[in-house]
Amino acid sequence: MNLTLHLTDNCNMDCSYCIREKCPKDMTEEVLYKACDLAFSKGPRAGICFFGGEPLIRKDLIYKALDHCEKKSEETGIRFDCKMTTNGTLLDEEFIERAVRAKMGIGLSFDGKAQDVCRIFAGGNPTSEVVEEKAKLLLKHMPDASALATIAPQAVSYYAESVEYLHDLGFRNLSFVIAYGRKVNWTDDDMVILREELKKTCAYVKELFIRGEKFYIGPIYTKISECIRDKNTAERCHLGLRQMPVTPDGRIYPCTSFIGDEDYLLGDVFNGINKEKVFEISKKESTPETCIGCDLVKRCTNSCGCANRMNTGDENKVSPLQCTYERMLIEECDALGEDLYQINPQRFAEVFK
Amino acid sequence: MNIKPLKEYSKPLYAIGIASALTALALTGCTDPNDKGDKEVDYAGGLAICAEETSETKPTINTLELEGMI
Repeated sequence: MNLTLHLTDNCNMDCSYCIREKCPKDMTEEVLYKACDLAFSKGPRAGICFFGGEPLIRKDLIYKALDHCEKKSEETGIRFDCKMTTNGTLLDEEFIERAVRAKMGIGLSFDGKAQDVCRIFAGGNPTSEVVEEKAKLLLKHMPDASALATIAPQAVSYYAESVEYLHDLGFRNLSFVIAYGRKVNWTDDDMVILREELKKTCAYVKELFIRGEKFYIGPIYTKISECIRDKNTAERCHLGLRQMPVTPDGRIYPCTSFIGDEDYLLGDVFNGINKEKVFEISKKESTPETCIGCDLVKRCTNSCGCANRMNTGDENKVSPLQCTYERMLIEECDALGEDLYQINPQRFAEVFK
Repeated sequence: MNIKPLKEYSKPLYAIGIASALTALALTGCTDPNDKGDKEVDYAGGLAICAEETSETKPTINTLELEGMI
């Protein structure tokens, strides 16, 4: 099974949109090994995502988990996959080399040109210079590493510029999401700018497509490819039951935003997972009432319980922000899709199939 | 900003037309038309929200069972 290990609740950065409460609580080795064993206990593969806080604050735990899981994989024949989401500031050559040996996928949280608007060190210093250097180091060893950007309203005008910057830096896998939650306040004016930035970004993607460059940017590519494949985006989240977070003290929840809510506690690494609880959650209706009857119901992320909970406090209630953003995104992505298809249908099929 | 259910939306032409392009690819023998590929980023988004980025599909009871959740 897949588990996301919150190795620590501590972080060396202080991002303005971050809703996690920082505290000096780290995972113990006992919890770590139990969690790894649990990942191997059921299912055809074991997947671990190292997460935090900032996971590289506890690099030692990552090394121990990798050694343990690789040994376990050899013994059992069960495939082991791992990945990590990091702010990158503590990356070094030794760690990256170990990560390459483990075939770890690394997602670097990096807001590009907007980095210093929201993502600063605890204490207030900017992080962009440090992270840019670390990004170059990462890409040298892992050219397929991903940049994960979060766009907050105060940085929305940097969206398109950031896409271009991250591409020029060497990233070929980008993920751009907008910031949700109680710490951000999107206005109608911000949404107008966001629309313009999406248009500029789509124009840039078109340029790269014409140049024949291999480049992936979520959510744009996802929206187009899922439309082609007739995939129901609304069914994708389901409260994260397929990638459950494990807290530093070993408790297991469905998704990050449910951590600490005892109604959603699924179990712990010592006693295992409460199957009835998982069963109960997996059966929950996931389409918000306001979305039933909307023609885009299968194309938008209305059912992301995590985002809904952050925006409205209720996993089954979509927010006006998300609805507005999704409509805008689908419209711009479809316009781009039509353009690219007209330019070169065969290449379009190769890229988006 | 408001919640506005959309009506009279029709599937974009690129999504309809691509079936023929995929057939063409299959005929050239370059690519398996059944190969869905998987280029999606699915890192734990946590605070950054993984709404767009998880590659998960709705887990049916059977798939949950297969993956060891039940």
